[in-house]
Amino acid sequence: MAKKDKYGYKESLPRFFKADIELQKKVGTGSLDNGTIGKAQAYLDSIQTDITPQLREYLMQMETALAHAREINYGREEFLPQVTKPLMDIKSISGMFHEMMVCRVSSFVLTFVEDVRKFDADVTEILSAYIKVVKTLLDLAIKDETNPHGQSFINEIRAAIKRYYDKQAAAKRG
Amino acid sequence: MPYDFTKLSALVVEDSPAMLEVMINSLKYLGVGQVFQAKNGETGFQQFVKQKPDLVITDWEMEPVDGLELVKWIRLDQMSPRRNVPIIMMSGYAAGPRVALARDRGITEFLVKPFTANELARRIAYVIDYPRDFVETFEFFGPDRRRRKSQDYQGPERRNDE
Repeated sequence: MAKKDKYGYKESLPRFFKADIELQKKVGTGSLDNGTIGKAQAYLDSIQTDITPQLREYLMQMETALAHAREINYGREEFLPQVTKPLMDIKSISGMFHEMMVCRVSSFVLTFVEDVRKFDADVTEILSAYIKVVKTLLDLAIKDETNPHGQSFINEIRAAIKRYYDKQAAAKRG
Repeated sequence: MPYDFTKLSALVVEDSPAMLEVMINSLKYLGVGQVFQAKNGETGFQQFVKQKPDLVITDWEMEPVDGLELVKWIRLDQMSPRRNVPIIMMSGYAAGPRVALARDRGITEFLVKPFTANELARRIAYVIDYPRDFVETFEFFGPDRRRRKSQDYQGPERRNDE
């Protein structure tokens, strides 16, 4: 077995390689051309692909995971990947395809889910509420993140998450 | 003077067909000369070996082989034609531990989805402007993770040039 120093490192030292500048030689250095970036952004802004079927598919995956979770009382380790993956996909794709309200709500629910230490009924309820909200946003074709109806849905989810953290904090205090 | 992206070749690895199309078109609008594509880490590695692109942009969550595994293959596999290629990982995950995990597997830059054309272009420009030193240990080969030098570091200095 390799000998280790007092910090636990193996005695064989790491090897270092200087940065490769071949790519720099090939492409050059300088500045980004605003006109070119503008054209690429105009393309992104002009995308009209309807991705709602894909978003609904991801929602279904989340629903299935939640249903299983309720049935067999999942632990965090088994449950989280099955929920975070479709949730992350919803956040990513909705944002790229102009479903900005869906993206916004998905973004903070994803942050919440990645932060929860223990999966329980409260988390399930929040995720169920999230699924309902996104379905409603898609049904009503609410895309703009400043839409007042959409805002009220988001506020409800936000309030539910706050209640969850308040409850956790209260439980900690005993 | 602007970069000449026409001389650049990139491999995009993404499992969502809609997102793959967006990525390919975005890179073309940015002037990237050659854009190769693959739908998961497995075919991504095959394309990488075949095409030897200058840059790899990969999604994280894919099946059957995900982006993290692809990074591992590119960095450590003996078949890899260019182990120090810049790799930009794109993902909807943005939490610190996720980014750290990807970094510890050997990515060069991280791009959070959704992104703008400006953010994509800046990541590409960054890997060109600031090529990273590489480190090889028993179980890691990848960009030097120490971008910042801590002034109050108390541990051993393990590098000859420190």
